[in-house]
Amino acid sequence: MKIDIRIDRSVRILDLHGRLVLGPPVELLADTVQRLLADAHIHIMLNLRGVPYIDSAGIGELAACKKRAIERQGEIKIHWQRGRYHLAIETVIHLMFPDALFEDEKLALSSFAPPGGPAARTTGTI
Amino acid sequence: MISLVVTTPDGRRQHLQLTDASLHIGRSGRNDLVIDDPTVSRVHAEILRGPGGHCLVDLGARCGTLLNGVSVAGSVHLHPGDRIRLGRTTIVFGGDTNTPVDITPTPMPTGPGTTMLGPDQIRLPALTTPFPAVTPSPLTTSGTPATLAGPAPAALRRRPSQDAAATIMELVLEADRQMLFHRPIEQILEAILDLAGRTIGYERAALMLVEKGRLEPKVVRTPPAERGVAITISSAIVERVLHRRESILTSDALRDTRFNGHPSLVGDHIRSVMCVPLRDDDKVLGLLYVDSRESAGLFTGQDLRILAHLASVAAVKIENARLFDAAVRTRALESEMLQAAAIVDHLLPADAPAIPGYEVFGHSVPCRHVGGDSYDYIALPGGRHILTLGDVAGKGLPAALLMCCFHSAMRALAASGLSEQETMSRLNRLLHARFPPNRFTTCFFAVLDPERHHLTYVNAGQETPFILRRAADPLPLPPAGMPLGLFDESEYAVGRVTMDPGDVLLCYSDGVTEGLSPAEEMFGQERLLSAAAGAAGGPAATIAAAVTAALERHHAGRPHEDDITMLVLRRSE
Repeated sequence: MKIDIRIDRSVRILDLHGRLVLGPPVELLADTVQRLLADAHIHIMLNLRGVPYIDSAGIGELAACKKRAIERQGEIKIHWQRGRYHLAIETVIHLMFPDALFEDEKLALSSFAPPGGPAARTTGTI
Repeated sequence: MISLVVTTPDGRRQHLQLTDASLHIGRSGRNDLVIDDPTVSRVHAEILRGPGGHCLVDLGARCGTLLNGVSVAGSVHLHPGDRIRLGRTTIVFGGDTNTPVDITPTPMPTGPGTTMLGPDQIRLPALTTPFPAVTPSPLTTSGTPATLAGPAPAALRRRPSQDAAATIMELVLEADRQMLFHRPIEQILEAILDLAGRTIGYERAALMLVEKGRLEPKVVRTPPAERGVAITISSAIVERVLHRRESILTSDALRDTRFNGHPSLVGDHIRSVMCVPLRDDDKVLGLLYVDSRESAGLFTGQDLRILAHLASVAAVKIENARLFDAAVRTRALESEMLQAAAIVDHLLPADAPAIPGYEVFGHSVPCRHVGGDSYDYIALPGGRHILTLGDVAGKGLPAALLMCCFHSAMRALAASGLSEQETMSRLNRLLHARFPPNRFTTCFFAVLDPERHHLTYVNAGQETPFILRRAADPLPLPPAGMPLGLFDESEYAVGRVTMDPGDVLLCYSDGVTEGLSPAEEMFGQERLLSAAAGAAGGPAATIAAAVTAALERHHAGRPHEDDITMLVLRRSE
């Protein structure tokens, strides 16, 4: 699992690459999101288009990310590709993020609360 | 009151107080202190309290009695921190008295008085070359009690007349004997310093091991009057020993003006120092330091080679002891895991309930010792039965612990007469309060009314079960509610199907459909349904067996990566 971070105004876009499964991948996602929230970056978009498989631990971590963001008055949006995962996983993702699932990145970004900072685009890798 | 710390060969420690004027020690039950160690004589030694303090008396023990590594002949005075060895048992008189070791930032003493041997230069002297030898024999001098109780001055143990070859052979044989059998690592460390003391002779010694990146003193030996006074070692020496794996000797430092800037040597009036690495192949486990202030007891190059050799043998033994201890811990852990597996297995129902017109079969195979999958049958009033299949996120022991929590909560709520929807809502809130934030369980919960043939169900994020029918496509019962424990408030939709004659309910965990072939292709629902349909006319157990067989063929020997659980309910024809 590798996570690239892009910035679009107030939104931190996390491009996930690899299987989101129990162990280091889930830990990396947890650490990254916790670090961003701790730095007051409360608008986070998880791009799952590079994630071919999610297991139950991955689902658990997505839920934990959402809970942590809510605790800090933040938001987590999901940019994904519908039909990629099997039914139970997709159903649970739908149930967890009923208004926060997008197949288009621009729509996902525009769904966040209005940005407060200046427009900027930079990149980094974890 | 004086205390004793007794450490037996199995590593057990016993603390006791000396209250009487005499303490007889031995293996026999007639002694005041009975030691269960076959290397201890039946009547081994005695500690006596006299006007001048306590004395140790060897009572003619077969293996002898050592005090601070030196054989006891007759009676010797005891001082706090003294180490008494009876066979393989150690007794610390007056409890442990810690002597610190300070590593000071002083430069490396160099010059003619210093010898440094690289890791490839450690060779024992040729057995035919005579050199000033030492002897492991007991002290026979008429020193004061204080001298007898502490490590003897090096000079007292040097016997120039003895043959070097005999000494080396004795060292090798003694090292072999000491290191041959397994014993707790603390005793190995003590034995190493005993051996060094008897072979080379030193005034002070420290054996230090690297633990978590820090050099920790494990055994420190000083004369009795200096217990608790820090031994100071140059950081430059430590650096060379640990990182360059060099063995270092400084001889007669006090007479060498180049060492005037070395407070660790001059301040302590040290004439001679040796420091060698405890090295197992390329790995340095720690160091062995000895020093002497006796002008007649200056260490020689031969001493350095002997100490380095002893350290090498000891390092192998320390590493082996660590591996052995790790293996023992692993075995204990495995034993606990097997017990945990038996407990978890006991939670799952041993027998299927007798439901008129139906048969049920369930089974679960964890991919590790224990797992987070479960199934259950709970009888309700009126002949109804609850059937559940749950799958806790994660694997192994953490998942199994949460499964036990889920299983107990489910049983408690199921008996409370709530609706299916309310049962799941309460279960969700209860688990949400107890599960860590990233943990949850999926659950298929169904109530079978065998009189009306109604199956009322809630699917909380569980892999889609199917109703297999003879003349129709399989009917999926997809998830319609959040897994349990994820969020505080979740809603659960209730579904209902009628079980016709021959209908089969097939529930399974994701370990079935996500089972991978060697080519990493998932088993999937298509293969699952195909295998189950082929056996759907038979008993529930046969249907489960057909799916298992197909899954095993798909795995083709590849180990399971997830727990595999199935629950099959079949209405009779």
